[in-house]
Amino acid sequence: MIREIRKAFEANDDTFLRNLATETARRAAVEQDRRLAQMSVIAYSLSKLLTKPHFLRSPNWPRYRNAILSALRDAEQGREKNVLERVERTIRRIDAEDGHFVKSIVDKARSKMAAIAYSVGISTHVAAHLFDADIHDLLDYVGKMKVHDEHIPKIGIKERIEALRRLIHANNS
Amino acid sequence: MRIIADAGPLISLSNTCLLWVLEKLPFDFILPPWVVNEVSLFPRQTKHYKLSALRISDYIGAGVLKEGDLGQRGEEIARRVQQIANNVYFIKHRPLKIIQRGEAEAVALATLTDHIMLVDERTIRLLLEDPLELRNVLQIRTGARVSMDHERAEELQDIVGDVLMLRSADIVAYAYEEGLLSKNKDYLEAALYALKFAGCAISEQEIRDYLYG
Repeated sequence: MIREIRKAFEANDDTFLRNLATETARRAAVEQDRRLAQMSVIAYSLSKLLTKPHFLRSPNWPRYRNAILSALRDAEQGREKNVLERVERTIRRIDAEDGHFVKSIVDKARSKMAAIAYSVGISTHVAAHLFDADIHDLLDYVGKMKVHDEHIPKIGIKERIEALRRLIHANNS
Repeated sequence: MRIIADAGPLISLSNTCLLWVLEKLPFDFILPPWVVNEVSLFPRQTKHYKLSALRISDYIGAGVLKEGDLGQRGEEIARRVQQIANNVYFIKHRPLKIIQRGEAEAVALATLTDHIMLVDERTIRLLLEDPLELRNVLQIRTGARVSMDHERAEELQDIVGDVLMLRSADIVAYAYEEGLLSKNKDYLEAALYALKFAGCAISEQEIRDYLYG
């Protein structure tokens, strides 16, 4: 997986990285694997970096690009245990120096990947925990997705309110 | 009557400036201990959501939202609920962990009170209302064959019983029907959509059916 990420990043293939991130987030949800979750966050963050011209045009870019590639190579060769954290730190540094947004690319990626994991069918709490995402942020992303339009519950608003009234009535009598 | 609230609806209501609706309703909103931490303590460390957390804390301070005490029995039920729920669905013989402690605590408190939960997300609602449908969702979304332990699903039903699941959208619609919200239907529609976009598991179709069906 790390090799795939590294090769795609080297080839500036943001589409591949984004697809890999999504697929890996789903796998992380199913397998409850925090390392997979972290890899999906990194793949997604790298894909975002590649789509932002202001990062690519920055004089800092070659230095950071090399630092990311070097960390990924070390990870491929099993040289460093915390290599994913190293990649993450580098992305955060690029973002802090050259990013346009207050919210970091990595934090956004955590929430987006957690939202994808939630769409698989795990709860928001499990998804937030797995991806170290903030639950406020996660809900914000979930609200922007179509996931809740794909499934129409058998019990609608009207029926739930009627059931609530029945309970109130029973409680009062 | 006591309604046990999960983190999601409190966040959705806070972010849409609709928390005040809870104050107008004749219910006690009880928060499991884990949820209190999640919605009001932890987010204070982040600038982005600190205001939302402080708003919720204000409602806790004012007694509109109350922290629930699980007690020994509640702890035991929460433990069982979490253990069973996370062993109902399997992919390639591996159990799928679908809920966490906070949700299990909310379910436990609901079983010990008036059997009403305020929960915005889809997973826990389907698990308790329609576990077969949750399997279908899991199957479609993972693209894998999901097997289900029906005995465990029934055991969960036996422990929990019938729990009415309300979403933030349902509670706001109820407040509207009770005349506690603006009389303007446009306001209600806007509020329901705002909650949907804030993460409440409600479809556009449901909103349309309710308003114009």
